[in-house]
Amino acid sequence: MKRKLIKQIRHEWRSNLWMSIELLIISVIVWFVTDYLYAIYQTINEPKGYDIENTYIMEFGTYPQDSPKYVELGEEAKTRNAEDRLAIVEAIRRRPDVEAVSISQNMEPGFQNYWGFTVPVNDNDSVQLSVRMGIMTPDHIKTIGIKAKDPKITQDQLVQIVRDGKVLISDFYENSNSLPYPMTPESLVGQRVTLQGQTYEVGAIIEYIKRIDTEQYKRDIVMVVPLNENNPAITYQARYVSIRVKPGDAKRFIANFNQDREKQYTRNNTYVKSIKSYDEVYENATHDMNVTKRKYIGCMAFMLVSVFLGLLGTFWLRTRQRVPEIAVRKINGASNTSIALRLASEGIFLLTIVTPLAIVCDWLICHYELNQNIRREFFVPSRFAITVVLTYVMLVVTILIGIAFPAWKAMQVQPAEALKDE
Amino acid sequence: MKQIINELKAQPVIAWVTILGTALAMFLIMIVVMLDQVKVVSMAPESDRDLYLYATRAESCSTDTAYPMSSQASLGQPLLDNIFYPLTTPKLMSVWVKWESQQSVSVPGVPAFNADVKNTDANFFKVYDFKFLAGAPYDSAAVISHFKKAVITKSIAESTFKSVTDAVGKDIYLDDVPYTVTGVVDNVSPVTSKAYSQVWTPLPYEEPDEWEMQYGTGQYAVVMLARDKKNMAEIKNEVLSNLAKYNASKAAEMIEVNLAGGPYTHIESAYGNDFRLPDMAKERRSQYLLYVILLLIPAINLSTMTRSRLAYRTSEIGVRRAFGAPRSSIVIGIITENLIITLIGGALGLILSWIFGGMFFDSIYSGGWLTTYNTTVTPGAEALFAWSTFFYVLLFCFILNLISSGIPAIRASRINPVDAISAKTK
Repeated sequence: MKRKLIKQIRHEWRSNLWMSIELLIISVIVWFVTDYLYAIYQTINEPKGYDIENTYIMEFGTYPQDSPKYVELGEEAKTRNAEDRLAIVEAIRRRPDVEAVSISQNMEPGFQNYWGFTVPVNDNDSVQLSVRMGIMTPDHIKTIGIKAKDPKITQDQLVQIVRDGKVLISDFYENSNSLPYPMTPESLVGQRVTLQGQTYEVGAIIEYIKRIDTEQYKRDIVMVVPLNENNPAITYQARYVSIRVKPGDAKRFIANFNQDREKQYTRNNTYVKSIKSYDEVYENATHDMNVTKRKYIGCMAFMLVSVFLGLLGTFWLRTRQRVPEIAVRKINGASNTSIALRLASEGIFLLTIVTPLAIVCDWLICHYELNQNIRREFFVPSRFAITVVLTYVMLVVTILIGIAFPAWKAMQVQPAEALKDE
Repeated sequence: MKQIINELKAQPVIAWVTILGTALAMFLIMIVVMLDQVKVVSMAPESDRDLYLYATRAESCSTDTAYPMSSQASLGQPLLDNIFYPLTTPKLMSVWVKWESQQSVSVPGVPAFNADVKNTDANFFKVYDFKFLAGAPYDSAAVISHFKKAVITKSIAESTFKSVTDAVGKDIYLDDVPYTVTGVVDNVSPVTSKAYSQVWTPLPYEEPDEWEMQYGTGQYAVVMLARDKKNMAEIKNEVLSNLAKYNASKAAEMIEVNLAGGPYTHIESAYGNDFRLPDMAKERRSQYLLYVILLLIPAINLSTMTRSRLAYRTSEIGVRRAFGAPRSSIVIGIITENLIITLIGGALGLILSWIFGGMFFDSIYSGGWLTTYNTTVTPGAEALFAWSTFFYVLLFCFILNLISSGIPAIRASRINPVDAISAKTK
């Protein structure tokens, strides 16, 4: 059987060569897309460092002088506006459907601003960390669900650390490029870091906080600087308010909030400009990535459909050409299944022949770091094996579907009718 | 033609597979072309994309080696005053605040909603070819006096005033500040990203701060419209000459400004990232590689099928050769036959790409990282139905056909008639 198969394939070598080239190219492209999607999937499923379920984000607005709603506040306008913002935050905190409220800047999931700083450790200018900075009031730990790296440290303890004026630093790779030399995150706890002339103690290490799901895990070192929530000046530094709603009230929250918005949450020139769920923020933030994913999936679908059509057409013609041969085989006792299997195994044989070559190409792509990395790794044997096998299986299924119709036609051949001219 | 129709009828499965395969390839290529075309082809309001020059970013560096510093941002007022306002070579020049802002739009009795707002000078409406459905743009006097005037799109007019014509002269509230609507324009697709907005208002009055005065960076972008292609080089030279003069005046402060490789042409701006001039040769190479891959796969498919189909018709070709048909006529016949099938598939793919582009373009277009719009992205009729697109379809069909049928046709024409008729050749 195997010898006959090889003989038949050799007999139509020109056509099979072209088909093999096609399968090789398509195998590499399908692997590339599979690997990309696998990497994205893995990255998305890595710890996010936050939990934004039932959480909303609110932004303040200030009526300008040209507005008919503008209230003249004289020279104290700036201070009064800041106090008004804090008063609105307090009013929201008293709502029965609200669990926690916080003010922050650059610590809002879905926002991709980058505040980059280099901070000396223990006043030593030669030991500097490159950090992505965010600022927040202590309750932000509860509103967006920040967790300590050490599971023994509770959220309440983290809140207290921030209340004590200490900074939090996110988990990082010991050999991160943001470090002056390799060190463990834990070695920084209790050390002093200086930011814009002010010195803080590192209070704890928290889980890495991604800005969006697809961000590489531990891409940066995040340093979270505390804000004193009783100081009106903070509202100049931080303008976003995060609100965690009690689970049962989440669905009706926006509607209920908007009912009170004009009356209760407007003070002089300060008003609530917008309020939306973090889910909505997230949808916008991931738009670009979603478009890219769609394009990759579209490209893979195109490749698979091309294989399907190519095999369907070629094997259809082969079946027609081989009618007398199939008839003779049937007369000699070949079953319908063996006729169909012969055709199917031709396609799968060609794929199997080119797969080692395709694997070499796939490996070269990893070697030259042209694919997507996960945790800074471009080639991990398990990931490579999974994506190669997935690619092979997808192509086998496509080949079987493509050959199914010609194979079915071949099974219908009636020996007596097919050989009547012979 | 009759022979081709008969051929298609005789082998319906092959005919459909060939046509569908070609249509699929064409569809995908046309979508790729469309995504490229929206970046480069002139379409209203950016009707003169070949003649625009942009300066949207400046880098300010300290030349003091003791305090090295560099800062990149949009253009500041000093750069406008010293480099761009004095320009004499462009046909027109316009300034706008580079990033459009999201503002709440409201009128009494209508719930507020968010819209994209862009601040521009009056020339903006001369450089870009907006289609005014009612009213007119605000003029220079309104810009100089910082009047609260606004031009809005048809969709904003319909959402707020329920009518295009009624909107003109009425007040619309942007973040609670009343602006008088002077004109309503047809909706603008975000693919014309420089002209795009939903509401346009005059440049705001803002005193440049100390940083802006010292380093020259701020919030503005500039577009210059050239008279013709030759004029573009003259404009570029004048900009760079003014920049050199400005830098000479800043030498004592040890500050040097560059325009991050600018001014950019529209294409450079479309492919670049503002920070540096794009490598257009590399961009083209990647584009061509993509076309080659997209063409190669269906070409191999079609070629294999053509070969098999011709093997099936060996005896027919043998008879034609025996009756004196020259090889060239066999080759031309096969190629023509294939070309017609390819054209049918190409036309089908083109129609499918139009339908898809018209209905789902929004789901495959991204203006870039973090770019979101308050409106649906449409490709614009100019990109969908551009003449260049038709040209591409024809070209791709022709290439696909040559690749897929050329070699099998030549091989088929070389068959010995005697062998062919006696079916010795496969």
